[in-house]
Amino acid sequence: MPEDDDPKTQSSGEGYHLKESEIMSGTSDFRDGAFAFITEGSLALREIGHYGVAPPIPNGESAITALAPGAGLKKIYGATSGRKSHLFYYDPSPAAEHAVDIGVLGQGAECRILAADANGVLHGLVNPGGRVFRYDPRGEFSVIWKFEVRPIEFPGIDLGEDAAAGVVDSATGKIYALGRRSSALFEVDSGAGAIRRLADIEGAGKSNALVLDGRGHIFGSGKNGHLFRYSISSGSLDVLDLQLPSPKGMEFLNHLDAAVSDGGETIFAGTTLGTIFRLDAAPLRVTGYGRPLSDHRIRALAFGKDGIAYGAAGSPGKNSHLFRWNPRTGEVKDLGLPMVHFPRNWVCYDISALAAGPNGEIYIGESERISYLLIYYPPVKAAPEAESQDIQ
Amino acid sequence: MKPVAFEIREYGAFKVMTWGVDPNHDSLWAVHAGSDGRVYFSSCSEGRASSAHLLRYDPEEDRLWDLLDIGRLADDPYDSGRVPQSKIHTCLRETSAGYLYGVSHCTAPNFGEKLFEVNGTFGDPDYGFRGSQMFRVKMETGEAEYVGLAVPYEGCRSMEIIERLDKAYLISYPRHCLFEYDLGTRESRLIGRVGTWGGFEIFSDSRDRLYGSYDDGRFFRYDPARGEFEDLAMRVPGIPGRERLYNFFFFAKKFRPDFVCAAGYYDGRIFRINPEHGPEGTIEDYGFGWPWGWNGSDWTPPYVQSPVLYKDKWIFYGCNTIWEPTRLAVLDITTGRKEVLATLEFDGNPTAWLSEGALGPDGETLFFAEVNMKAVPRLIMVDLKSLQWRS
Repeated sequence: MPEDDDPKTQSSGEGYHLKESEIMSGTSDFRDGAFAFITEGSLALREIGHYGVAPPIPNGESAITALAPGAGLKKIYGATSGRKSHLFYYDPSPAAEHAVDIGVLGQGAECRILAADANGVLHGLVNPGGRVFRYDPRGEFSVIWKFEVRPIEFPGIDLGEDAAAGVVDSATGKIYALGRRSSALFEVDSGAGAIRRLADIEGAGKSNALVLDGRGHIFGSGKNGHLFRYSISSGSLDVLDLQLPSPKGMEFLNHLDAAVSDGGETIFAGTTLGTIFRLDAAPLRVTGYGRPLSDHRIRALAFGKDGIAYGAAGSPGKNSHLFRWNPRTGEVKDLGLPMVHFPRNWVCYDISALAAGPNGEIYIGESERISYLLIYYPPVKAAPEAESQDIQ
Repeated sequence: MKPVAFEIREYGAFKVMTWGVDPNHDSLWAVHAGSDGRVYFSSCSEGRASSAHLLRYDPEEDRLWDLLDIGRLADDPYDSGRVPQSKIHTCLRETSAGYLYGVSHCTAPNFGEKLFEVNGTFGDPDYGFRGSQMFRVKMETGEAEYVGLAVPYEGCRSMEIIERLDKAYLISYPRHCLFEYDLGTRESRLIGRVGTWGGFEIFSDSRDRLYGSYDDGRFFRYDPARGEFEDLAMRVPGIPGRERLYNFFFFAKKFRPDFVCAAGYYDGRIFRINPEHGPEGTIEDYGFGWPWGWNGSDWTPPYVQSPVLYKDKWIFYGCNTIWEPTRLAVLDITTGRKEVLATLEFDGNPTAWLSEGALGPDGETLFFAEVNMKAVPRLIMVDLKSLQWRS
């Protein structure tokens, strides 16, 4: 016996095994103290395909890295990354309720930038190279036994480098994107087949997000985590005296990671160091809310129909947790790991994309070799609780 | 390498070995009969924090040796506050160069705690599991060497080594991802996810391709040379209508290149996988491991555990409903006859689970890594010459 193994005073008593059955079914103590899975609300899972109707996107090509609500919130569109990048939609209508592979965006490709304009036309960029594509879904047809899709259009233009972040102006359909290598801000007009270099912003190529507020201002981050603001109408760029909330001394490593606008002047955002903050565009103000998880990265955010922001926190290769952030009360809560039991048993460990659905549901894009589209249904709030939150 | 005091008690054809390297140890999870005539096994814990030890029993000399404490070897002590290196699962693999490789696994709680949650503590630098630490033992000398962190943040329940590539392949826990670990450069690489709760075992064929099963029992094959997965038509045998449940295979043990014996997790079957036959391999299903089948009302049919092929004709294995006493059973693969030989209960302490089995160097003794109801680490030996059975 090793000499220093003597003082093994541990509290768990004699001859104790933590049985698998205890873990699986969950003793009350285990549920109370050591259960990492979501227990508020419920979850469903959808394969990205429909057997016998729409061939599923194969493993290795199914990592969902972008999600975007379609026009009128009737469908959710998504893009995958992997050996091939696919564009797909999920049709939640009772007449279909399936996911359909629209087509391939590229080989050995990654797509993280996808959004619809006011007409429902989807615009996106696919790496490598920041290749531009668009997809006009008008004319699509989807019922449970049949579907029709439209062709994906590639106007033949690209950024000439990988796209780091992007946002679509829904009014014009133009994409505003950052180059990963150059840190330049580009304007992409896929309809006209034109790309304009708008500005060079030091350090911006290390970020993963841009966001557009309701007044036509694009916000992003540059060197040392300073926010910048670009006005689409005037073409002016301001590097602001506002920094992303950061552990002190790590500002140079902190970049905008995900952001979502409420459609007005308030933006909810997260950073690569895992902090979350609220950005008020007028007057300009940053309010930090700390970290929802003891890990880096805020990889996705979506603003739910219930007025709550939902986010995915956690580094790739570690466990991504879903969290909620109530702007009325300031509550930030780690909801946990998504686990589903129907139609298959599955735990989602890696999340790269979120989108809000029409009925208050949140779509979760899983991003591993085997990946699914998960749907989170937040719990119904009792009326008194909802009212008390509005007091804030 | 230190000598260890031990005791062997005899119960007819059975012998039960106990020892004391760590009072927190409560179970035994891996056993390997080495080509050097020695038996290697892992003394572990699930209930309390500890470091797993690799022990070696020399039957000829009747001596027991403590080869390594994985927590100490990897500088990851059991009382660090992190999830400890408490286990070495069925991951001992011998190479032609005379080394025995293994990796650690996690199951025990943090020091002083009772609850264990690998997902909740995942990746946490102060409380989480650092990952599966790889070691190797030079079998000639018993010298142990640290080989590196094979899987970051996660445990490992199954490993294969492809010597031609000088690489190990490992299934991680809890994320159930296939990892590649380069034994030369000591770099770990995530290949891809293969499951969620189950599907945690892999084995290789003579062309160095790896086989595993998804949670629902479908087989996949991964070819390291091409870096490609294939989904196979082959499925883990199961009760009709229940095939898509947790019916992955486990307890896979390769006795010959064309004879891998395994059990179905959910449906309690025992079967042979022949990866050398046909383009995808074939399965010979021997049916339920329990001779009387399934009563249809228990949660699952009795589990089949730790098969050991004997003289190419019989398979010895454990069989029980979980947390009921385990029976030792034998299957005659030529006739399909199954027989329960004994209830494993020694000193009033029933066997809950046989984690791995091996045929000893004399060719007549079975060695089983055991988990029992009273949390005493024990090695079970069965003398087939004196065992009453219909050979």
